[in-house]
Amino acid sequence: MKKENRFLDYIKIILVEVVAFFLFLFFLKVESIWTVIVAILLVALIYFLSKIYKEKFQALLEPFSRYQNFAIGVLFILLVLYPIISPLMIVHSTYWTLILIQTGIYIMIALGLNFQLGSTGMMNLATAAFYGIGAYTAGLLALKLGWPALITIPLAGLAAAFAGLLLVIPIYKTKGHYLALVTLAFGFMLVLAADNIEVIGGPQGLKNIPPVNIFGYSFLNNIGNLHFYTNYYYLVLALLGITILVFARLFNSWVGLTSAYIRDDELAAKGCGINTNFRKLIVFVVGNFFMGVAGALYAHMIGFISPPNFQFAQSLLIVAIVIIGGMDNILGVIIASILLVVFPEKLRVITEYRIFLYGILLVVTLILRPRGILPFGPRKYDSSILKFVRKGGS
Amino acid sequence: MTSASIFLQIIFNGIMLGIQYSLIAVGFSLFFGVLDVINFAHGDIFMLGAFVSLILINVTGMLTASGAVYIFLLILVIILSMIIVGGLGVFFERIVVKPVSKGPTLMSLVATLGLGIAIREAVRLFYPRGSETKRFPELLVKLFPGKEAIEFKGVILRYDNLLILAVGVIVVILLAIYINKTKMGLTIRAVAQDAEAASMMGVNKNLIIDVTFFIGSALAALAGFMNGLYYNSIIFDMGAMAGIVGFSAAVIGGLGNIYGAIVGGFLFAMVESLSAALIPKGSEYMTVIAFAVVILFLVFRPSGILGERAYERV
Amino acid sequence: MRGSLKVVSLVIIILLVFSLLLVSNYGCKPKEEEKKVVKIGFIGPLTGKYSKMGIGGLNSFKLAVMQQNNSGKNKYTYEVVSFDDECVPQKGVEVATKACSDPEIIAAATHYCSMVAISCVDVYHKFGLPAIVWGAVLPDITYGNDYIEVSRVNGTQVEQNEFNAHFMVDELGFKKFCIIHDTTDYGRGHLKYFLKALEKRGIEPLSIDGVTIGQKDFTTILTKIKALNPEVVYFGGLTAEGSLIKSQMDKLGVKAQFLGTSGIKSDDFNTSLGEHAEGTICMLDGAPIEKMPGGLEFKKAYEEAGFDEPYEAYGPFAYCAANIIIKAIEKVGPDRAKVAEEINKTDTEDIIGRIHFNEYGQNDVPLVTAYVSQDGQWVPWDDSLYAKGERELPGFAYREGREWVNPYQGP
Repeated sequence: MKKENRFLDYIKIILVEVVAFFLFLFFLKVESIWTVIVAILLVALIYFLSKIYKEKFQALLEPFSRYQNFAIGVLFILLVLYPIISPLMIVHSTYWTLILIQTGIYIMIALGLNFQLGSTGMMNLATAAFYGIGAYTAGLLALKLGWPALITIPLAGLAAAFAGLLLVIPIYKTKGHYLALVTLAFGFMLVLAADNIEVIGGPQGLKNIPPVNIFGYSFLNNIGNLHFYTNYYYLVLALLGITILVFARLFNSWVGLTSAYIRDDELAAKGCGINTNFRKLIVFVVGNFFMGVAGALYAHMIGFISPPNFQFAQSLLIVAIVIIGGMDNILGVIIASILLVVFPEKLRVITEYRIFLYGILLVVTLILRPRGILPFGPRKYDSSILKFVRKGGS
Repeated sequence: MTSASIFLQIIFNGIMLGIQYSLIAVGFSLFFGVLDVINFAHGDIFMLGAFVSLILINVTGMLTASGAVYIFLLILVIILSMIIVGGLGVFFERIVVKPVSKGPTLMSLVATLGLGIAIREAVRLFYPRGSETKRFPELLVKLFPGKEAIEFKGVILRYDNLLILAVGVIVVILLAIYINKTKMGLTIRAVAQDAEAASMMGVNKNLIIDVTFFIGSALAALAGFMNGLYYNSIIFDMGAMAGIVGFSAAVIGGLGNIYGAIVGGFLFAMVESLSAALIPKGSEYMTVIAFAVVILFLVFRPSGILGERAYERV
Repeated sequence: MRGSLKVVSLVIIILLVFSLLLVSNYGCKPKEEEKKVVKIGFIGPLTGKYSKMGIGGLNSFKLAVMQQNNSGKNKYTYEVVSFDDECVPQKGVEVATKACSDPEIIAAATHYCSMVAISCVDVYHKFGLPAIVWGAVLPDITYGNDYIEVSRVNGTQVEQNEFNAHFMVDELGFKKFCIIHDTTDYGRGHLKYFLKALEKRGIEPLSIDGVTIGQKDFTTILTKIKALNPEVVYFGGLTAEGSLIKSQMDKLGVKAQFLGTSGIKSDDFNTSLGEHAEGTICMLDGAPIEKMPGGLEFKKAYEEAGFDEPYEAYGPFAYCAANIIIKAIEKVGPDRAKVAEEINKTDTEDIIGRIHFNEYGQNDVPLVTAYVSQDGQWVPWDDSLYAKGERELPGFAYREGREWVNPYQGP
């Protein structure tokens, strides 16, 4: 009996994911205003249906939480297959691959911010600047010193992390929106500095940054019939997977728990003996590391970076992703990234009104779901505690 | 030109800019005080003030009038634009700001950000030829027929700028008096300090919030009008940076503190002006230097210059 | 409540099915027509501050394609696919990639903003898409590489500033210059080449100041400049900052001639300044449209086509780019590599004058025209009342220590 149910659940998961996958491909494929209308209608439909057929819906989604690993595994396979399937279906597949890679990079940055903001309550309005530090570090090291990507990418992450250390005093001494203002100012200063320092390119930026080259295999090579961007797709997918793993583990560990404590009530956390200042500093630095890595990936892939890439507007986009996605919720952040990065690209069809609709979308989303699409609820430790207890404790 | 006259010019610049920043910053402080929101659309309310004034100027046909009629129309345009934009401010508060104020402050930040983007783009899309810079007429020159400016120690002080300066200073002083000495001002401060307690004392919390947004938006509208007069050109994205600076100024002064917002606005403007003038290549860096000063201030006086009026509950 | 929800979702389902049907028809390839359809791309700033320049270019491009399609003389029918680069380098790269990854787009006319163009040239080369620049003037776009894919119909900052200095110094006799430039590569490019041109004539500027894009307040720089008493204030940058600088210059009483580059040759400059634009000088590559044989017809055809926006300064260049592309495709067929080679051989005449691409793909016919703002319009210098002596440039009056009376009479 149990085995049959399990099989059924597996089938359900696969079905739902494959259908969603192809719908997504279809969505990317079609280039007209109908796509937008269809997408909105579809979402509305799903929303209504989920209200009417509550039980059936829950039955459908239940396997996902039970067999999380399987669901993730299927998703992973689908993602790996994407670059192979998409050229068959979509005319502009290279472009969309580029956009998806870009989305992946933004997800990485957003997860970094999520750790700072969602998990620990630290507002960082300079995310784009740290992303830029990573990009410039990798770009300069690769361009001027010829160092390979395997070295520049981690170094870029470290550079961004250490740059975060510069703000140690404000982190220790200020709170809440004051920290926000400090990061805001810091972000502006960095961009303007980059604009004016000729050595790192000035407003022209850095051109012709070498692509990733792993042990002689240059990422400029096409994989068979697939466009060379596919290389970056897999690289970003792999690194993103690692990032998600890291943050998921952090979330479930005592680090995540105490960070949430600091977010919810800093004074009480201090009272419990948590060194809040030091913890906040570590969180800030770690979050920045991932932003820096994302920046390095971008630099190598596009080969061109300039100060306008890393302005306040981009920081705001990342903040919007984290807040709309639901703070401290990795899945929510991923969904919000797709919504806020892929959707506007589709909306190019209505070019003139794109940015306008984007603003309205932000407002509407926040009014209808003020705590984000997938708000964080209280943590559930029942099952893990049960496991712990069963093992006999230690 | 002597260095004294350059210095004087800088001071004058700083004050003109300072008035605009202060008027915007006050709005930020007020909104944060009564509703615990950071309203990033406020900069675009400033922009609306400029555009609404422009529309009114054209609609009333005041440019062809003269004499007493002209002065009457001028005052009418100013007051009407303040009322209209004040009303718009309340409208946005009702449909966007209040609903998101129930969540964390950061929610309101992002929501108002989206609102600001929507307002900005709406102007660009729906105002005829919206993406262009629009000419804002030199309205005050008509008031001084014949002579445009006086020379004072080598500095040209235009009469119209002096008038803007005078009006701005008066408004700021009036605002301070209003907040401090009138009953309404007292009520606003009460709601800002503790909304619950205030409503227990019989204050209609929602009415006060509406009033606050009206005042804040009207002030920003006035600043927009003054900006148009001073630079003679307005453009749909003029509110974006103004909002960020206004927010920074409000925070320097201590969010929620009206006096602090005024002080913060002038401080920011003076730092910008001074760095543009005194530091070589300063004009490229002036905003950055001002922000650096802001950071330094926050490090040494974390709750703002005049202190944030908030109590942290344990 | 349940019932109405059911009805609502039923309605939505019907709408959805209907839309899906429509949608599924949209993605398909068009039916076979008599002539094969060839797509050519247009990339420019269609939204944002410089949308007017971009839309003017797009309309002119479309006009050329329309005329070619209607002439019945061609083997193929051409379809325009437009892309918006928003005048932002990152968007430009994304959009360029999109254009390049559509195998049906054979060639494209690209970019007004120099900063975007310079970051996209590598993309065109990577994908092998022939791209003709129609409005960006940074020299490095063509001279900085030897990509066969990249060419340009308009001139560069080098020729423009050389002519500028020649006009101001050699012909009009000005000697004392204060320079303001914006801090982008575009502004710095103007600075670099204008300085070179001045140096050739043995002139050093009295001051050099940089301003950032988006800056609104220039009173401090202008106060400094006023103290230096220049004859000319040169601005290397675009309309948004240029108009503000001119306006504040007048307010502060800086008594000098205002001189700009092709960056301020836009209708916006005149409309936003009104009478304060009078007497400003600027430059534009190419001969004035009105003077060229096909020019007046272009103007007429443009008006008759009923576009909402004017063709602006670089519209005619986009028009010519379209013609070059179509001519090349007609000759060698819709093949990117062959078209790129063919385009590089261009030596022809069109409404902007003679077009000859040198080994860098750059149109090196060094035509630059000086324009002066007269009654709210940019008038070519030779046609203006100023050249005829009926009006006096502010720079002349100030040079001799006199006051200048504004002869502006309204548009």
